[in-house]
Amino acid sequence: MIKAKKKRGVFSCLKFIYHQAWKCDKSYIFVVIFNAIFNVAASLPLLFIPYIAIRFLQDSKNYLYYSLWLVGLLTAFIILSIISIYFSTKAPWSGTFLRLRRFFHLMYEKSLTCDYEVYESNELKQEKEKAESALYGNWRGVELMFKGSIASLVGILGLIVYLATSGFGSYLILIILVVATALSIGASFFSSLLYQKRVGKIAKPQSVMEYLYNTTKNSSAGKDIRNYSLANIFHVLFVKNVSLFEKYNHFQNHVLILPNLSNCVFGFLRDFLGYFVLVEAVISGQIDIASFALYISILNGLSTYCSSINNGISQLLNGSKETALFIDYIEKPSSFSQTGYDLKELPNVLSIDFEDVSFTYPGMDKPTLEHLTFHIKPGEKIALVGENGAGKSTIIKLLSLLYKPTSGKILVGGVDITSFNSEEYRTLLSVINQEVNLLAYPLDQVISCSLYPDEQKLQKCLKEAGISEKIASLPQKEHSFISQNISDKGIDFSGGETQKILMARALYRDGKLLLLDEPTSALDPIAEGQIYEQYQSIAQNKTSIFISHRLASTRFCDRIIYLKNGHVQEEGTHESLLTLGKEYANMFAIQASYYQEDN
Amino acid sequence: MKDFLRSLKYAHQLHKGIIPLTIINAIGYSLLPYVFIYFSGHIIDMLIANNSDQSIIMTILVMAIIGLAIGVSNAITDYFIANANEDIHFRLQTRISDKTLKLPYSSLESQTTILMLRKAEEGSNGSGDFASLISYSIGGTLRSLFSLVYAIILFSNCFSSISSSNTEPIFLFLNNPFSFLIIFAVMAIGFVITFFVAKGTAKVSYEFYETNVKTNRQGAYLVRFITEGTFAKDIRVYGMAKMLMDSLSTEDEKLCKIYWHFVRKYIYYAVLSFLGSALLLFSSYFFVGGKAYFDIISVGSIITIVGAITYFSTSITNGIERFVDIQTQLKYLKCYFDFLELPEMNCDGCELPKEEPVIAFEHVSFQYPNTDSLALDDVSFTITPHKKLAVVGPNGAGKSTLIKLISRLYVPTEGKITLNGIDIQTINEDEYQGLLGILFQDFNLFAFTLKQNISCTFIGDNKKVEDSLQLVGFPYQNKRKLPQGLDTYIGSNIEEGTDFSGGERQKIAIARALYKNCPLILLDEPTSALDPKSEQEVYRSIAKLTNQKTALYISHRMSSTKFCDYIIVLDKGHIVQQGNHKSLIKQDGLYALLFNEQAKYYR
Repeated sequence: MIKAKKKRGVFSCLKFIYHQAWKCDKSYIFVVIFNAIFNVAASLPLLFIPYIAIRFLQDSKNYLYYSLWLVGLLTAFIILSIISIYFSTKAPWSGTFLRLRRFFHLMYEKSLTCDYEVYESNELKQEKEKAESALYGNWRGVELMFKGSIASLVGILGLIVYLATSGFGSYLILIILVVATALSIGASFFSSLLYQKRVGKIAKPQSVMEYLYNTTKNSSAGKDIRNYSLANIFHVLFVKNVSLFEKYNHFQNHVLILPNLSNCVFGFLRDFLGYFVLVEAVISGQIDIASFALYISILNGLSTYCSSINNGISQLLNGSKETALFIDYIEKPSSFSQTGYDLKELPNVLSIDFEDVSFTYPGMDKPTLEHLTFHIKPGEKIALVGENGAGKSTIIKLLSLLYKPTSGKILVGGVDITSFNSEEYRTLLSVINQEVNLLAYPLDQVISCSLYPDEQKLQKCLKEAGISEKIASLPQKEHSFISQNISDKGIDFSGGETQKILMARALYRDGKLLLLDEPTSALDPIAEGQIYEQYQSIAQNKTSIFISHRLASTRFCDRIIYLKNGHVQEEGTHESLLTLGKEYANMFAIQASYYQEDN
Repeated sequence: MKDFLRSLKYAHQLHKGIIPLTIINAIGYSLLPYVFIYFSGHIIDMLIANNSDQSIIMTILVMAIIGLAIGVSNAITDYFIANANEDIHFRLQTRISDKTLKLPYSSLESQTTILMLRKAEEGSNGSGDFASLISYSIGGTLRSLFSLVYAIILFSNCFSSISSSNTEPIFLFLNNPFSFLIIFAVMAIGFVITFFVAKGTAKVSYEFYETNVKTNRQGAYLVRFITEGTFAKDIRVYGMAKMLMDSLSTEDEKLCKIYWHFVRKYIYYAVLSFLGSALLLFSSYFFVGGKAYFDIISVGSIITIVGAITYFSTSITNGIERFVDIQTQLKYLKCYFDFLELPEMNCDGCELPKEEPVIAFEHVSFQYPNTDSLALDDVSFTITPHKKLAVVGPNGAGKSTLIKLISRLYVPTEGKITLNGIDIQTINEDEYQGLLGILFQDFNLFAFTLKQNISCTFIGDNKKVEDSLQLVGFPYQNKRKLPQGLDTYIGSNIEEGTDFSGGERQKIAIARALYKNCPLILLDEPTSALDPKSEQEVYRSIAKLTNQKTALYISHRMSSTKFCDYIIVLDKGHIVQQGNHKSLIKQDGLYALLFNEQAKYYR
């Protein structure tokens, strides 16, 4: 996909991050400003000490005046420094804090609400991960930009103040200093641009190594690695990618010498010329030695501020790369509507209609669903069957408004579902998906999907799902944590128990549409039978779709839809399809054959 | 101390140049400011003494050139160190991966090991990784040590005295060469304060870190949960966004309070440390000023000496802070070292017996670590060669545990598993694994090429791979699915490849077991994700796979037991029934119950 996007610049990023900072912690901007002011102010008193030393200990010996001035200057120095320390300690921590608080929040919120396709498309997923990397660390992305802006501000302010202080001396000095500084900063810019051009090649070996690293740590993968002796392949791949990475990385880093070297060279020129001009001024009698000492301290102080600007700029430039990606990611609009049709207008029991729906997953060339049309009456229980890859799970995803159809319409209760607010629409659904993923929170919160569950409703759902006895037997009952990821006292539930928990959650949700995608795949025959028995009462007054490979489940449904290659191949009741004697009958016969006694 | 030496050892192993580079870099950086301090004072003295213009200009030139040379050297060492730092990061990852692959499986699954790595990784993200330990913390400490050396050289000037007829006590005092030791005394006070401050700061850091980790456990988990794609569906379909954001806000509030509590302490310590150095500054200027007043030293020397004192004391302060950083960083970085020193799998052992392999369980009991109940309780049975054994039972009966024990992922808590009478734990690991081909319930295919996944080697035998794929009914000649044929990658984590469906992946996994061509096949729920047609195909290929071999088959689908010669029924870790299908149906026990539960829908 070719996207002609305008690249977001440093200033745009700065604007964004400070706008966010202002929203979260208004004091931050002031901390940054005062940090710069007091940092520079605190360094000023010390500048004058060589001056007074020469004035009162060489030119005219007066130890008293020397002491008085000294006390005055040092007191000012101490007071200003203490204030400066307050701000300079607070500033970086505030930056970290902003990152952890405000920016991570933006990221989480986006993760939770962005279009689902991000998670199923490799390209989009990588984009997301690159964007998020702007927040992982004190010296990257967003926080690096905060640090850079602080350093730059200190440097710029210092430069201005020091140049102004030296201004009432020789203009030549001023020019030399300004030019040298400008050249140095220019070199920084240039090298950063060069660096950005070279970045990119290391991304691939880096991501391969991340993959290899994470896979070897994965205990599930570890089983196959051991049994199939795959350790060697991993090792070889690692070594290969490490050397690739090093090669590209060194090439990329060549560029980084540039700002440092230019700093040295221009610094050399600045110092030499600066001292030269000053010495000439003393020799020709333009300034006295005391003033010379003052200007020398200013010159030395200046180089520190020049470094500060240099560092600041390179930090800003480096940080802006990832920050720009992050901002683009955050500001990407959702493709689903946020306002919509009022749910209350819908009838109590809903119909489902797919009208000529076609759907191709982003990035794939062949459509998964092709001109799919079917109608489900309100309150009907449909079994959706078909071979792997026929598109059954895709139908559930479309009904869940995780994707929008490429063409055609999906209607629920007669209304096009894309005209609803996606969050509100989904309250109509109770879904059990194939993948089992439970939050490691207390059971009652997980089932109710809220931090404040309704006790009675919860107990009722546990009972209906067939798990209330097991829960009652736990030490913390329904407040037990699931798994030990958060609490050491958490419970590891078996596969079957987990599926019952999922059922309880679907029940608690009490959606008008009940969508079940292989809800019994991990259950033993007894537990499976219980689910089927419950199904009738669970699905009462709801419209439901039951996907399962176990054709036994079709017995409990009113009608069967047989899907093949993305469209409806056969439709009807169990008996009528058996009579038809085609695909469905064939599939049923295959499964039934295992259970016939005379085999 | 031991950890510090360990860190040096590993640093040197990971990158031969990093330590010499850090030393040279430290020498250069600490020297640079002294150059200017020394020459500034010297030039002022030359001006006061009215030296010739040329000599002054020459001095300036020399100063600038030395500055340039040192600056360039610093830039070069910085470049090499930047390279080295990044190299070290990935080399460390390689070492850790290699180590992970050599660990015994129980170690890999153990919470302790997982936490070890996590602590090291989170610490690295928060307070600097291993490379930063060497170049920033240790480098910083070295800088201050070298600073000490340079300062001593410059201070030599302070011990001068002049001959004079002045008899004022103050003059006599200042003229005494050793009076300068007062300054050292003040400096010492400053260092004591700094040390006290540094210790305090470290304690604060440590408390901060520990509190963070504790409070952060839920936060860190939430972070993973939210950003990983696996939960994205549920979050949207169940409207969990609000609940999770609210959870995070509560975590936030906690974090807020902790942060400011600690930042206040940091500020307090920073100010205290500063006051120590301010005291030093005060006294130096007065003292050295006095010496200059009496012409004991030149005015230019004031600049040099005070500059040197100030710079010296700042660099020692920095050094102490970096030194403390070392201690903080070692606290979590040592987890890496501990991990790298974990005991590895013992692959030694006796050779495989030459006869037909017969595996037997002899009174085996097993309890997973950190659990209360037995997963298997006094289980005994034999896997007869060339026969197919099915293991069935309700959820949680212990079926998958059997496979984990046979494959030596875990060791029985009691009893033993034997191969032709020999305890399998005493057999050479590699040879033993060569005996078994396993299809785990949560099998993994990796992002290598199809050929590499099936042959489990880098190159593999094309014909043999094709044969295996043919047997499982995988269309390996399909150009759309396999644009690069057998060299097509699976998934896109390494190179752009194809994403295969659940059924196709299962066939590839079976082909992998076929390719291995070993006498004993273990299959755990191989068809749970498959539709009836694919399931049938897989049963057929499994029949071919296990033809003439010994097989252990675990499944919920009672349908599969019909292919097996012998069936074991497990319930809550015990064997409750054994026999073939017909006899078990007759017994009308648990087996019959399970079978009929499923069969009744098909009659």
